[in-house]
Amino acid sequence: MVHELTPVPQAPHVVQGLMNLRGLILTAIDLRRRMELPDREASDTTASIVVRADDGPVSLLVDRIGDVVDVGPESFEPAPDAAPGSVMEFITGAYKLEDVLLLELDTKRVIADPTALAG
Amino acid sequence: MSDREAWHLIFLPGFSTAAQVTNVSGRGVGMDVVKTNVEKIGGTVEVVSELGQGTTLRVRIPLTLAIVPALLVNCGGDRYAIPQREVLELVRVDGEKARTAVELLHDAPVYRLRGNLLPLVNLREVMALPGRDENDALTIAVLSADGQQFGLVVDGVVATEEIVVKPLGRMLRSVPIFSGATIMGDGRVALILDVAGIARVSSSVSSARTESDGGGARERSADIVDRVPLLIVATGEDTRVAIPLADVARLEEIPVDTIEQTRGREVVQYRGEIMPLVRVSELVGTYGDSPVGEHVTAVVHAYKGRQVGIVVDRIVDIVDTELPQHRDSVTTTLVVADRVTELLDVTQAMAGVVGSLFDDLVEV
Repeated sequence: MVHELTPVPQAPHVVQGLMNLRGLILTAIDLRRRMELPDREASDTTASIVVRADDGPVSLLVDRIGDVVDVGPESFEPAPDAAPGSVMEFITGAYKLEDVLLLELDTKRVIADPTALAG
Repeated sequence: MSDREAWHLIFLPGFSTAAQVTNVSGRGVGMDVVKTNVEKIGGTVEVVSELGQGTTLRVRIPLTLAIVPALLVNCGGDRYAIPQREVLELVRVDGEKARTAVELLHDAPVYRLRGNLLPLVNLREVMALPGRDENDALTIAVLSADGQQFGLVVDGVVATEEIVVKPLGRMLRSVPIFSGATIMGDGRVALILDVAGIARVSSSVSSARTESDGGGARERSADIVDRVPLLIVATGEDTRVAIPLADVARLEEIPVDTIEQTRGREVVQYRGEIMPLVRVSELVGTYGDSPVGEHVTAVVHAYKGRQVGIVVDRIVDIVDTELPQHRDSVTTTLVVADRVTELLDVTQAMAGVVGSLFDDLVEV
């Protein structure tokens, strides 16, 4: 069971709050804010994806979960270097699926401290 | 059995060397409880003993999972934990007093705690939340960090609780005002305040310290000169003003109907001179109506060989006190006899108000 988020005053903008996941305190990062996309409507539902990181799990807040698919390295193509500030900054590459491109998120970069990244 | 094994016997449940056993004492429970509980949170207890020398008990508790007693406070609808070791006391001011309890020392809010000026930090301000309602009761947690005391204004006190400290994620390490987080009984996460961090980010703590004569500032003996007598007067809505007694020539009651006007200034004929009158409220910048009576009270001050009457509402007292050495403006705020008082630098004040007046006052 996931409890309500506890807001963290003076935290970086991308941090939505703290979450208690079965006794673990996770930092919840809003993926929209991290990618500098417009905020979602207050009424929209969010889903939390807990990802493993070097110093403990981190929660990523996303709009919804689409699907779980198996992909192989043969369909992968790395993304070109992107300027900071764009969504492509957080994309390592794309898997060429039959009818759509599936972008791979650079989770390490997403959960890195944005202030430490600057410069 | 080695010495080490022998020492560890004291942790066995039921192990006792007591000659007398009562209902609670000497039953071999205490050390067992200590060991069990410390190990439960991942710590260790070591014992080393030397006959006739003494015993060392070493308790190790992992920092990331330390259980600390904490005070839970409320601010802006959320709960925050303050480690009890940093809490000195709690002060609650309500009703009429709450509105006037916070005084401003220049721009820094202070509270008079038993005569000492306690710099205040508003937790809502630290968190960039909207300010509290002025009419609400004032709750101040008196905290100590890095050897200095300050009062943290919170919305309310919730409870005291033993909390398990958990570290914050990497993304939040740059936030100086929190040291960790904990999970409350209801499952919600509460942030733990970093008292030293809050003191660092709140400029009012450091600036009020250098201005005040109270509390820890008294320890900075280098800034304090000898005790000097001060004449304490009152003006406006009970503002206290201190005038060094050395600057006071006489105290006079002046009948109101002898006060005359010249060049927009009140003057009286005094001992064969024209003596300008200066309202003390003009010098310290206070407002409020002075009492209307048949006489006004004037503190006569000798200035450049002439006399000036400083009109005050009331003479309160004469007290001996220490003065801070650094006084660079007309008034310096300090605590005298448990009251916030404006110390008047008379020479400077006079220069600003009547400096030019004497040049063209000619005796008849």
